[in-house]
Amino acid sequence: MEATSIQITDAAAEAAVATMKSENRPLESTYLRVGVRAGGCSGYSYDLKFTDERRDNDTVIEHGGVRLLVDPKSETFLKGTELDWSGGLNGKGFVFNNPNASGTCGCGESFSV
Amino acid sequence: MESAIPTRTVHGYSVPAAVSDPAFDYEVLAQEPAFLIAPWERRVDVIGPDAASFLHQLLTQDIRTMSVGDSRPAAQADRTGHLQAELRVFRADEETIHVRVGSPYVSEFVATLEKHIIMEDVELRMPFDEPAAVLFFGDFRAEEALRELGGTSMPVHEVGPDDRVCFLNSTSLPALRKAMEEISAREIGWDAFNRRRIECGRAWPGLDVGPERLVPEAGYEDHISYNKGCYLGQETLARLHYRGRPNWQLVRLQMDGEDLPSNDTDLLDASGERVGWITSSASTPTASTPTASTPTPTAVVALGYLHRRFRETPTNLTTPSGRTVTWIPDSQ
Repeated sequence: MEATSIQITDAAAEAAVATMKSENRPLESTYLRVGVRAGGCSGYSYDLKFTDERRDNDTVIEHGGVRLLVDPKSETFLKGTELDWSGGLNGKGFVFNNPNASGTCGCGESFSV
Repeated sequence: MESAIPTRTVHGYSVPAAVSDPAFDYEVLAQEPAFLIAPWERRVDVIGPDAASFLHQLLTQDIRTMSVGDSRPAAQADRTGHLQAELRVFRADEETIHVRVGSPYVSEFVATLEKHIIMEDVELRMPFDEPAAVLFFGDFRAEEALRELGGTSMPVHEVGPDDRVCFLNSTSLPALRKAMEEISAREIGWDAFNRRRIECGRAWPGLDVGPERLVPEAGYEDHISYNKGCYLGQETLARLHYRGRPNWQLVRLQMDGEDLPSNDTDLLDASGERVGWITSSASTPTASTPTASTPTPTAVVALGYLHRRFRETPTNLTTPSGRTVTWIPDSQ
């Protein structure tokens, strides 16, 4: 894995595996696709979904039983990003710690570069 | 010796001030199908399965709920809610959306769209190499002729609800003029249109509105959906809508006298405090006949910004030279 690529924390990997199991998705053929879309108050928003489709130009990152897929264009926005999991009282879910984001909106759902 | 036809420069294009004379042009615009050659108009097509959702995420208007054939005003804002582009969006089919955009905005608009295409399955096209555009006012009868010339049209609201903007290649313009003649649509010049759009409160980019203005300040409330969810600039615009009011608001004005004020003339309240400024104005054609929808024939009509403080407790409004100015509220 390249140092500049996306990293997934143990907590995020555990949460992803648990969700795959709860949705009866086979771990050996399921990927977690992460990407960036237009949207949100700041212009860009994160996109996270399970898929069994891997494209030729996807980057694959494996950690803790999870295989993350990133398309090349999204990767330019996500290099160095840590995908974490928050189970705290202030909100439960995946968290993107993205060093490329110059700003985020109030709800944290979108970012600008 | 024939006198030269006066021209006006609009967004860098030289256009005739009048085709006959401004007063007659204005009468034509008020009463008959009329058209104006509008070389500043551009059309950008957003094509692909994600076209609607992509624009929905970036523009102020609700695009996702538009049916095929729907046309809605929209704006592109920056993160802080300031206007980047004033637009008209037309859903041509499930995967094709035409966006009408003025030439001052088009480069920035396209650049912003391009940098946000990441996972979305969309592409942008400018369908006409050298576009010719015509603004059509009144009962539109030229659709068939336009189609034969390889052109298209879409509904807009410039000075009336039935207006359309037609796009075609510039080489087809002579043929379009002929087709317009056959359906008894008369060509008008800039001055008549300019006067009418000021009377209607239609902001003009570069004169009345620019990137220093928040979208609602320019009278573009109908360009914004407040229940569509997040989009670029939404945080500011929603806060402004639900928790406050814009300090400045573009309003219609009427002035005594016949001289046109300069476009940055201050507006003063009864105490002499600056409460606004003029952004554009037009004189009344002297041969015009007053009607219920047009103000006094000798008046100057103008657009300008007024501060909330004045709008809430209006007093007398004057210019520094002492000319009386009347604010025409939207309800009139």
